[in-house]
Amino acid sequence: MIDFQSLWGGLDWLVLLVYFVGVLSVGVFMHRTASKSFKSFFVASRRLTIPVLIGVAAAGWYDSWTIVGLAECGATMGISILFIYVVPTAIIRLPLAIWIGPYTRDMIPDHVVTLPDLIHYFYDRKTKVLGSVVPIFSVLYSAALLFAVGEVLHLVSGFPIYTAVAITGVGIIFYTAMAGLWGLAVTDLIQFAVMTVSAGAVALGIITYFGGLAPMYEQIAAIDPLLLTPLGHNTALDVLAWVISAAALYVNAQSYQRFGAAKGGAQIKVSYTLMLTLGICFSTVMVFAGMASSVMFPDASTVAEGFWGTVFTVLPAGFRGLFVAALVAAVMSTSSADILISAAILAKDVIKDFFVPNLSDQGTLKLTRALIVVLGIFIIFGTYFWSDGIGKAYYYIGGFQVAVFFIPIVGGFFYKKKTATGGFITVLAGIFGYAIWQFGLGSPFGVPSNVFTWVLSLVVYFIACNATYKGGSNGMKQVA
Amino acid sequence: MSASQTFMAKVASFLPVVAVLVSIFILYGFATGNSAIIWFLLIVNFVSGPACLFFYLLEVKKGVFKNQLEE
Repeated sequence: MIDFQSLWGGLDWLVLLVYFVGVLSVGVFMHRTASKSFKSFFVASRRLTIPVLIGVAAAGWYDSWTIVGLAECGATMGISILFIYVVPTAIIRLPLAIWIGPYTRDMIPDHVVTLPDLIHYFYDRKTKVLGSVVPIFSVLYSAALLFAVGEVLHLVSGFPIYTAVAITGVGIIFYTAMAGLWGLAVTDLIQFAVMTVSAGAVALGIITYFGGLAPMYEQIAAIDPLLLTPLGHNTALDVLAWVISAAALYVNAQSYQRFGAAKGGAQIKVSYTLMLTLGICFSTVMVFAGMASSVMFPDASTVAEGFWGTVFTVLPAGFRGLFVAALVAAVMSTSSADILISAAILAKDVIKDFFVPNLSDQGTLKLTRALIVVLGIFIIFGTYFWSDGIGKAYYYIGGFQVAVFFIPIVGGFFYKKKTATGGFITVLAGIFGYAIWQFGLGSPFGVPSNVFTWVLSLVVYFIACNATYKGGSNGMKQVA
Repeated sequence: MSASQTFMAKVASFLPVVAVLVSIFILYGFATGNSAIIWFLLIVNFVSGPACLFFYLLEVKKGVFKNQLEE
């Protein structure tokens, strides 16, 4: 196996250090801009324009799973992951860019700034309570992401895992607490640039190494020809589960925060559609790198080790550091957004709305900053308890969020007969349905929990809404 | 609607088509093992991130933060 530590040198450390210092400097620089009000801190005063929106959307949506996870899928599933996940994901998310995002920004009142606010706007306070609790669990996913950084830095440089976790975690806490979304917008842009340049470099390195796609395909075909077919070894249920998991971003609190932060709906349409296209290109390179690793390092002890072996083989010194910085960037951008949103929901939607209604705007802002620190520390320690793989974290948390909120939120936008009671019952059905199917019954008949609960929610939503609908508009609004 | 808004609306309606075409191109490229797809991907990746950063810096130069600080 490749000796990573002999290839990792001073130039790579320097690149990583420059990236880290640059990101922290943004927190200091943007502190004043972000401190005017809660709206300024949380949705950047609704001023984000197209280039920034592309950066924040991409850096927020694409995390270390998009790099290492997709590469692992490329190695074990071949091109099928492009057909059943990467491309369907982008196409399924297009309505977010074309309709839901612009509608959220242009048609929903300014006081709706968080996902629970949106749920309250569509349904009622009871449903908002449930909507305030579930998104906070996304911080568990951040713990898993942070651990991935520690593991990779340890693998390539011998750096102690938990020291890397602590340094990265403290860095995230620092710039997020200092500058909120104003800071995240700039750091996300830097992170997006680091990620895409690294992807371009690794694609160039691999294609140069093999001398074209055909020679690589010949070697893969010799191992397993099915890896070069659109469906690979996947069953119909596997395909369905992958496709449905793409819908997770419809219930992602980050998405709605960034829609609210845009300057206007037209900016969202352009930036998010562009970002989805660029996202396909970025993700595909990671799948390609994974496929290359399956033939370059077929005897690697883990698929991830083979992937990093490939990256370190095809990239020169300095670019190796840049690629590791890309992974750190992907984690920092996603985790900072999750921490910011979870802290804001706790401060505004839970503590202010339910316990301290007289809390001032500046008080809410200070409380949000304090909670960012608390949640950040929780995440750093959470890595101890969530270290058995980000794939599992993605599966459970992503699936759970889709199960609970996908139907009520999309229905809130589009269904004319939606009712407050219908929304509440559907959210409850989603929570209990997922828990029973996943943990009580152990996903019987091979049906994944996210598939089961999504269908259950759909049925319950239409039955409950129609049963409680009393005519008229119910005072609620929809896109069409 | 101003000229720039009209232009942006036209761009916005055209971009989903681009997304679908790029998707088809990528799937076709990988299904047939055509190396051109990799060159396309590496160019897009090399250019997109730095381009976003460049356009953002242009906006900062034009004063994107100025109004916020004066509020």
